[in-house]
Amino acid sequence: MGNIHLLPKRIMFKRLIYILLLLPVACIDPFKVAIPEGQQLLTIEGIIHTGAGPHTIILTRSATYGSVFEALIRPVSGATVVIRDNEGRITFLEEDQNSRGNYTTPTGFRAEIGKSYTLQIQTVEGKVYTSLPERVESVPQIENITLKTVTVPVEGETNPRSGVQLISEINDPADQKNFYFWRLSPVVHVLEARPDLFTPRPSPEFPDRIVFPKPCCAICYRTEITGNQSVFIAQDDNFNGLTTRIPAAFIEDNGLRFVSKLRVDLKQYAVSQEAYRFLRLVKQQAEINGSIFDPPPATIRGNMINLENPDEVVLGYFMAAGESSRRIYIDKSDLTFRQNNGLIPDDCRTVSGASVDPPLDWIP
Amino acid sequence: MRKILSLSIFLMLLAGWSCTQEGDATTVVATEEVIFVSGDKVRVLGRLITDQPVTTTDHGFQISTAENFPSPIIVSLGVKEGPGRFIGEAEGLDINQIYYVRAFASVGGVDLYGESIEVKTLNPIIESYGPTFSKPGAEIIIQGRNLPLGTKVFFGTQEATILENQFESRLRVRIPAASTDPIVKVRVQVQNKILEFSQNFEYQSGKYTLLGQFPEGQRIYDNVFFQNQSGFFVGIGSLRLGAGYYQGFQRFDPQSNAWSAVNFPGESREGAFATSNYLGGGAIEVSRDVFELKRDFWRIDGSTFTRLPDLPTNSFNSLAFELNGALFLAGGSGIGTRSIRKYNPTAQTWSTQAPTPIDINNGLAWFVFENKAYFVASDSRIWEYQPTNDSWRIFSSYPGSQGNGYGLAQVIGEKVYIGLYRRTEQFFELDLRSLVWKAKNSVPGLPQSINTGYFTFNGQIYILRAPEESIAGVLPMELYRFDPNGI
Repeated sequence: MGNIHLLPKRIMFKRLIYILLLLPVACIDPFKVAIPEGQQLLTIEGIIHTGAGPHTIILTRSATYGSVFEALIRPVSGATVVIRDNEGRITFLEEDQNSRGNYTTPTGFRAEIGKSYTLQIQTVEGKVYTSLPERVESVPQIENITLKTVTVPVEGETNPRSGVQLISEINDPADQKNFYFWRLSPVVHVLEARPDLFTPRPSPEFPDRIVFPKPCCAICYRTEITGNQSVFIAQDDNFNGLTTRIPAAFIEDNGLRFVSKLRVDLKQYAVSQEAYRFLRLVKQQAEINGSIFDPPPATIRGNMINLENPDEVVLGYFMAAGESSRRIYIDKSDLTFRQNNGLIPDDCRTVSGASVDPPLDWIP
Repeated sequence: MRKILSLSIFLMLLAGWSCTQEGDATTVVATEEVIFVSGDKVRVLGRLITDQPVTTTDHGFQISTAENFPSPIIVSLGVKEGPGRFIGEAEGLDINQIYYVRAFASVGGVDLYGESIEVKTLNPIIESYGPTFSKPGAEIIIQGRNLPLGTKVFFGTQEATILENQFESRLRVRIPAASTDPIVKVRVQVQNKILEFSQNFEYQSGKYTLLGQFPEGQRIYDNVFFQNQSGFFVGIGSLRLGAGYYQGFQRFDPQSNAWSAVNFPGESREGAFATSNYLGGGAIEVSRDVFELKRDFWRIDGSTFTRLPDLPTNSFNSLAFELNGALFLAGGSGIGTRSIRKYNPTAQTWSTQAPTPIDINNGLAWFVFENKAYFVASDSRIWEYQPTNDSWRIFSSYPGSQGNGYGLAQVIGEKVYIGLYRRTEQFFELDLRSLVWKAKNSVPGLPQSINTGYFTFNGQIYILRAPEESIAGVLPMELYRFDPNGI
């Protein structure tokens, strides 16, 4: 009789547990994460050096993190920008009217080795920023540039990516600690086109896709900013006082650049230790590829300070450096692997930056 | 057994709790870097470093001329919550002086100090200024280095107002009134140091003195004027608004500043020409826009006129000048705007010169220098006429506005003064050797005035100005004396 009364109680208890389990499931509310409003941070980018100018300082406001529609990177226009050396000499920079936010030094301005420079900025809002002093160090000459064809396999593609690596040969001075940074000038290369294959787009005037050869022009000289694909830096810990060869730049072969000749100036800078540290961190962040060994993403503090609020985050770095430069003409035969030649079925002058006349100093 | 197990667990728990120990907080103040040094100012970056929450009752920098900071200048930045950077700035330091600077922070009643950094304030330096020629009230820019607030600028003995000091390197300065000398030294004073530019500043000069009015309150137009050893002569023009012609001349003696009437035996007229020694041509308006051209030709000797044989052609609004003792009659109607006739006074003959490269009439400003004639053409180019070989060349270019024409040109020494065209007040000096132009002060008086006569005496220019014919009212002609170097 007792068992008869116990059975319904057990069942009731089980049902109660099920109901209790259901209760928390039914009450889940979406959790709203309060993300702080992103700031548009002042960003400074620029280098002055001992080479010919004009040297450019670029001021922008960073975009906030989030949708691309939330904000854009905007130039900081109308600022008063000066460079001051350690003797108090002020150089006023002028804003480029065609490229707002770009401030250029006057013609003839060059940094001097041994001097320290600070960048001072006063924005239209009245905020004053200054850089920490950057000392200009001497830089050894580029003794030679050697070339190395580099191929990079691409997943799912039969053809690898390829290009030319420029290797700088330097005699590192033994009596100083050197920090190197390399950049490329805009490249000039022969551009080959096929105006005889020009086919106008279908239109009421040209309803059929028929070839209308153009009389000109098949050969042009194109000036192009390729960038340096990566941040090329080095310090002389391992080669102090020795002659060494260091990868300094990379120019990707896009099928058009190496059809004949390409000219580029390799610029070698001696930057400060702090600038090197900044560039190394930028390089690390830029080369994150999702590996477990990657450094965590982080904001890299530069050397600019708001005088009223030293804790304000100002991005970028103002660099002052010694510069040496060497020009090289790269022939297509210098490459051990080349991409298939790209086809431009039109007048080569229609390509931006192309002209039939070579630069006046084109001496391959 | 169960009790032993319970006791063991309890002891193990106790063992875990007994090892917690609080660490000591470490707070450090660092004098990081001197980020700015000028003549009287330093800006220093410091940092408060700690691994614990911290509040300073004060923080900042100490600055002293002695390394042990006996009585430092204190840059107090007040309370600071938490660690981080701080920037301090000290002004009013002595120029070119060694200082020692260190950061400090007061934490919990303890003063912490950063390392001492030696810094030397800079010397002020002046580099350039410009323009080097201007007038009071205008602005100049002084370029230099380490020119702090409190810098003073002097033009001679006159202190200037500094309107703006940009980055202690560019001073925008208002030019003060001149004292007496038009050429002065520009000096910059920073604390007790005085810096002087080697390049002098030159005030725009030119002083006009009103000498009086033309006799009888008359206003005459299209008149004749000339000067010779007897004085300045003005006369035989048309009276205002068709009231006939002014008879004869008025002679002004610049030494006595007195006017006197001079009789002219010929008829009064308009558009005649005159030089120091000759007069002639012109026309009489017999009816509205109907002219009777005159060919009579006169020799002038002081205040007397002797009639010569008539001109071979009509001459109306022509321009006349003398070179090497010969009279040249150029342009206007009758002669022809591109023609020159030369008069040989010995043979009393006229000859025709080569055609001119510009149109000429008496509305052009012209002058004679070293036996060559110069004409300011309507396109502002100044042409030089060389009478010995009857040739022309471009000499210079007038930098101002020619308004409605009829400007004046007068030579003093090796400089010529050109300007005061109708409806402009501009007046310029041209150095005939260096061909450098300089602006002169504007003429006072009614802006709608025209030149009815101009002369040179003792290094000064005398200008007779009349309001334009259309200006109504009792506005007589005024005679000004212009001192080119006057302030």
